[in-house]
Amino acid sequence: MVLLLTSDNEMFSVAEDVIKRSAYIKNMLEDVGESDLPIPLPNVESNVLVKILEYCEHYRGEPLPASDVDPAEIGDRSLDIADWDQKYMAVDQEMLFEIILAANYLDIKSLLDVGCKTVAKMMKGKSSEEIRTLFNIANDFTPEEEAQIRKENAWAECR
Amino acid sequence: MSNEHETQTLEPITCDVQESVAPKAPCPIDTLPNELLGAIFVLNAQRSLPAFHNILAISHTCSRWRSIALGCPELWKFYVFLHNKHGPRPYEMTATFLQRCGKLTLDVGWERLASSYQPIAVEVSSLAAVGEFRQIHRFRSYTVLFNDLYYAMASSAPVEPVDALEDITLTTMSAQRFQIFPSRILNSNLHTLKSVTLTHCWVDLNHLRLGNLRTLHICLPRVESELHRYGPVHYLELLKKCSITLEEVHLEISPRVPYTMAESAVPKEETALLPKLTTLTLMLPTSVLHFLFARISAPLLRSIRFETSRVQEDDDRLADTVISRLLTEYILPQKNPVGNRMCVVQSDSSQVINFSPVPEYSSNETEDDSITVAFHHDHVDFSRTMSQWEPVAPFLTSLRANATNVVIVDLFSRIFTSLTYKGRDGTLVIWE
Repeated sequence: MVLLLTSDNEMFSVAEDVIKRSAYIKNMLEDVGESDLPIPLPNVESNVLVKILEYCEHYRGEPLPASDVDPAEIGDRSLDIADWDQKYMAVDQEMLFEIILAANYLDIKSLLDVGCKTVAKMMKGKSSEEIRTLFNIANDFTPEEEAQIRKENAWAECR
Repeated sequence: MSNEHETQTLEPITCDVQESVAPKAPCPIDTLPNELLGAIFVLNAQRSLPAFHNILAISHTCSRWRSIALGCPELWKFYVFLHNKHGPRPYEMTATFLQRCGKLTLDVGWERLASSYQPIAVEVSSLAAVGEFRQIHRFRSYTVLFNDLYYAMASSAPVEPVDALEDITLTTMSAQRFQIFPSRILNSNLHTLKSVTLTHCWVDLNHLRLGNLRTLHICLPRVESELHRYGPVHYLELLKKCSITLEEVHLEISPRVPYTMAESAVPKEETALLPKLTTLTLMLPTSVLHFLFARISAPLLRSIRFETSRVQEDDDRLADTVISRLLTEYILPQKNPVGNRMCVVQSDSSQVINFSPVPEYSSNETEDDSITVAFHHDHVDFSRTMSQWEPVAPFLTSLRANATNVVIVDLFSRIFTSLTYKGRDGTLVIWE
């Protein structure tokens, strides 16, 4: 078992084969070897780690991605998401982005992919105004930027 | 996964809880760093005009998103040389998007053309103005809707040597129009080509290095006189040039392709081995089909579609030979005696014999087992090929046909049912 200490000081005991889906933890275990000391996760809160572990449990036993893959790379460019992953990602926006940040920090590429695709699908087919409303984003363009945007919209409408 | 294990894994075992008092972000997506937002944006950069509007909307959301989007060349590489329905869009747009691509190679494909594309005379000057030919050396993929105006430009404009092109698609969009792409556009040392699609267009393929070609798609149902000398031997040579890498071949050629006795005398020992070919479509005169089919070997072939039309001088028996070879060398060896499913379907179109996969076929088996064999309406021709089916018929588990023609219904049930029942029982479905 591996001990994990979250940013809000909660300790989790996790089966090694479950948490090894995190390349970050896997590498740490390989570097440090067996230890009774908990691995601190200063960027992950307990409620997010619970959700991350739910994902790792679900895919327990499935092959891990190749270690030489750059975790920053988003591999499959289609926006298809497996049914279970879609249900897993049906959370409020705050949790969704926490999951993506944690997946990035813990280096869980498949989860990062699913998270990014989920957000990309939320944006798909929407106007800039609809995207702002969806994510509660303020329109903070300068007048110069607004002028350029108007010009680009005219180009796009040039059918 | 047991409940006990789940509990052990997911529940915290010590509870030194310190409530988070950090204020909730008013805009949760703002917590994502730029590189992750950029990666999410890139996922939306697909090869379509709706995707272009989506990318534009993303870059018009807020200052931070715009800054990320403009600094992300991957977002723009599909959209540099977009056209409206009459030709290229404004030069300023092209120049702006080109700048955003940095030094990235460009994908200039179908997505640049509006669905109502009808280029008019302004295109010549517009093409020159937007500098498409000056950037052609950066194209990774290039789709050309070929007309006289494009030809005029392509024949005379200064052109940088193409050295990154992997995918070229040339079409006139009309069977009534045929164009030959100027070889000067393509560098004869170009070794990056992976996909060539020629529809009512031609490019001198002998001029090109094709050692990395994965896909070859040629559709020339009406061949102009300039290509009349390009016969079966030339197509065979073409396949040999890229035999190691070819995965998909589609040849749809005019019945007027010459097939001479000299060509038919090419010894069959000169077989072209296509070790990676999985998809083959040959829509050729029977004699040419026979010639090529006897001289290619493709052990991994999974998807086969033939359409053959008999020209006057063709011998009917040639088609039978093709069918025989198809059945005994390709379909039969792939058949798993258990769980095999082959679908026999009467073709809707006349004067063709098709062998094609049925990807939509609802089956739990693999695609290897999904093969449709369709016959044309002429039940006389159909019955003549029946002897070829004897070795395959025991493996048939499903028969489907349109039961509108009583004669064919009778023929199908009489011949196929008896053949099929030789080797299997209980699973035959007839006349769905």
